[in-house]
Amino acid sequence: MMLGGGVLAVIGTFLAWRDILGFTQSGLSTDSAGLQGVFVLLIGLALAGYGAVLSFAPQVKLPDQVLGFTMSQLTLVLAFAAFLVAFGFQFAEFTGAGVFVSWLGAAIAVAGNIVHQRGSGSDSAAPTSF
Amino acid sequence: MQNLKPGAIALLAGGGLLFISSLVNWGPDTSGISTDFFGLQGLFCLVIGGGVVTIAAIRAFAPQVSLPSSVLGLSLMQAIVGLGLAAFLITFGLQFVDGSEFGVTLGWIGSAAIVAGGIMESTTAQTSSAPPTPF
Repeated sequence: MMLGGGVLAVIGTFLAWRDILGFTQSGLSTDSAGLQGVFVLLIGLALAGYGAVLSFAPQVKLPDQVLGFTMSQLTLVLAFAAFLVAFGFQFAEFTGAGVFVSWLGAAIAVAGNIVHQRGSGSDSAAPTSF
Repeated sequence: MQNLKPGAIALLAGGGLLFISSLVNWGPDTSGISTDFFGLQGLFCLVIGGGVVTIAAIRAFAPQVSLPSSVLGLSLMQAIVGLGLAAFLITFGLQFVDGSEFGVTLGWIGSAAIVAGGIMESTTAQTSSAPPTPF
């Protein structure tokens, strides 16, 4: 889910974020969205990369902690930040389909991260007595 | 007031600044909470700033009030850092839009202070709760 959500968030930034009477600007256009689309693109790439490593290359060693956050916590925070950026933009006037695709991708990544945390939490839980 | 740690001061000041910034102009004659131009982004910043000030004030001046220790696997300070980061990405991203105004600058300075204060507070908590090392 993190891989899919990250890819969806990235694709969304290349689609129209502003659609004014047929004149469109992508999320990467700094004139209309500033650096917000670029931030969502970078976060989406990081989420997709993290999801790909977890799914296809679990032997790859990632840092245990970054600034006191575990990798799961860090990706959760980044995905939620990307969601707030894109979802907040959804309710402005003249938004295009790219905004919807981006926040949907970020929301899927948040959900995937929570599912992953719950899954790994139950795997590593101490055994209970019979 | 004199016993406040730098992290707590940064959270109080940053949250207040972020809250105020969303009421100031982000674009020509448009405040941050105008949903026509900025959607819900200004409202998110208003809520995040207000929430951070409230939590920081409770921790500083009313420590007897119990706050949740963790939210979705994050400690309270980590959650604040995450929300501050989201507000920073919103406001700093808008800084480079044509016609952005002073409120946006106030917003990203406030949210950067929240992120810095949150990291300082969480690292202080980790160091103070670390087990003693042998001589």
